[in-house]
Amino acid sequence: MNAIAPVLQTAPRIALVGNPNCGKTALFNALTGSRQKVANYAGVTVERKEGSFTTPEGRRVQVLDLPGTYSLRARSPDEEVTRDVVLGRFKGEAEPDLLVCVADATNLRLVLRLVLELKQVGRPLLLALNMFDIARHRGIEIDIGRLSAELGVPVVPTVAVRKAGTADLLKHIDTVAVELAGAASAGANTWHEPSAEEVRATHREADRIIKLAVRPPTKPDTWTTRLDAVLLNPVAGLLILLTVLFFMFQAVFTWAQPAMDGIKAGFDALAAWINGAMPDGILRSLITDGVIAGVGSIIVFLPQIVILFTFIILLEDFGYMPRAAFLMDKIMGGAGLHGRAFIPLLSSFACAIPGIMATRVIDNRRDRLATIMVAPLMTCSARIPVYTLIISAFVPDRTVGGVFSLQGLVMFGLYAAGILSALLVAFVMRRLVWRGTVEPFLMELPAYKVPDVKNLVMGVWTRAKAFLQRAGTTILSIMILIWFLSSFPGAPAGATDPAIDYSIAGMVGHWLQPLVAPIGFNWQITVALIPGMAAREVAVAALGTVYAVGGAGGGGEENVTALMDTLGHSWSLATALSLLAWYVFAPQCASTLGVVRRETNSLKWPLIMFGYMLTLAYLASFATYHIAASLGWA
Amino acid sequence: MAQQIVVGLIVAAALAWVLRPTVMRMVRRRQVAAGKAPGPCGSDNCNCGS
Repeated sequence: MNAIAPVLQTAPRIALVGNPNCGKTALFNALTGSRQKVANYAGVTVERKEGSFTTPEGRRVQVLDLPGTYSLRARSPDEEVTRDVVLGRFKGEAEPDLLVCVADATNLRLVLRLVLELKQVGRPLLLALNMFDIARHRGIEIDIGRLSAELGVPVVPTVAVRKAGTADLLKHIDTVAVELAGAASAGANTWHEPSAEEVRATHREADRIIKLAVRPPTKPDTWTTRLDAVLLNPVAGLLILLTVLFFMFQAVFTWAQPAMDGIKAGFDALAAWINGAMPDGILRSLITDGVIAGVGSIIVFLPQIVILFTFIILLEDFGYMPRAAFLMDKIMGGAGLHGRAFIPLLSSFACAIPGIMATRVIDNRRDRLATIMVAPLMTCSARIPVYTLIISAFVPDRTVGGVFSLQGLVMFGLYAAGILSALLVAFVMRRLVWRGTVEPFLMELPAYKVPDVKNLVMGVWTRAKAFLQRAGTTILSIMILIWFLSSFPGAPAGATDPAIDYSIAGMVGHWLQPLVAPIGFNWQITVALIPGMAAREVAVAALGTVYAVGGAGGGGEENVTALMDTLGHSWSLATALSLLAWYVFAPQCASTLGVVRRETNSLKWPLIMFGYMLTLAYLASFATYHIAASLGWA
Repeated sequence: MAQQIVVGLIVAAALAWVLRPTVMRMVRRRQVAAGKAPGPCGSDNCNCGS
């Protein structure tokens, strides 16, 4: 260790390069553990992950996890970052001393072209053959020695998720570090943007090496082939996709019910206990009408969020999501969206914010902007409490055809409305604003694999924790303020109207009500929509508090069951449908607008988004309310 | 009276929590302007990657 210290003036810097989904981040995690820092690269909204670790010989090594790429011929902002860091020309980023190219051992052909390009850069290079166990399991035989000799770089097999092979990799890193310290400088960089002929030559060279060093399985992976024959079929595949989505939303409604009932009963018991234990007064009102009625009405939706994310993570782990993207490409293309837009739009079902950030994978700026602009129309999980509340209050809990829940069908319809409106808006935008052809969609389809239980549990827990944290901090605080605004000033002596009518919230609601009267909203909805701008689901908690303070529920506290009952009596069906239509389109999320501003680096696009979504929301609610009224539902 | 004080404190804490991001942003902006903190990524006074 002491012998090394004098020759290494600074900690060696390693950059992990590789194709997307090759296990690069898993290797980064295996090497660095919790010693990592996540930020953005200077000037661009591309995530920068840096960490450090110590080699067996005691070297402290800095490691950078670069965005995935298939080639140094960068086509997206992420790929440009990788190219520039590898070439040592990214402003503010130190040049890497060693490149570790991470390869998916089950699909070597794809990565060898990148390895051949990286060799031209002239920096020391190591090839980590990741997912080596899966390759072996599939009967793929890789002659490591031959591969290393043909490529002229050390090759180390790894299984990053189980930390297998990392010890060998660290030994190689030590060896390279010693060579590095002795070398005067790195080799010459001969990489340049290749011509079409040079690209073809690289492909031929990759094929030649594959033939020499890799023996394909005698029995190919028939499972993936057989499943793909059905799941990627243009007709059967689409039907299966629709069935999967339909089943998912049915499950969200039916499976969650027992747990939701349990949570409701818990909050009811808590409110009853507080009412019995505390004397009547403003503190009891704050706890029961503000905290329990507000936060309780949100937490009750936790089981539905858990079920939805369980499905999404299972489908991702199974390898179905890229297939769904492939199936949707034609439909997306028809609407003027790029095939790669499917994953960001699918992420937007959870929340528009990660969805908008995921649009970074789209190379073309116009394609990316079109996706960003429609992402908030996808039904995010924050809409679930609003939809569930209104559906449960107004749609009868019965089955259709003896099998399907009517409430689940309505929910499915709202999701479909979100998807269709997103496609329609994208179509109009591409025709009016960004004319031109959509770039072709190329994506690698990974092999199917059995979902990892640990990954599933971690993923669902992360989402559930985020939901509960939000309920316990921001939503709790907002509910306390809503309670205050709904309770003060109190009613004057001799007043006959409910006390809330004299409160600040009541005055604001009454003042704004003429604006929303044409779409059938009452002043209580107006009051709830204002804090609902912070986050959509806050509107439900706000309704709980406003009606609880107003005493419309007949008691002090307003639990979800009582709130549904109250809404069923105080709103017409036309108003309920109008509010559902409002929530399909309304830009009720300040954080989303903030992210759009950051991702587009302009105030223009969030303003346009706010304007068009608000207009659509008002028009949809207006039309829904008046059509429903003409049918006698007002 | 005691109840009113407790309620007042809770409401003030809730208001502080809601306004916290805005206040933090204002403080940060002042620090960046005074050169006491790095600016956002891509700005002249950003020190990402250093």
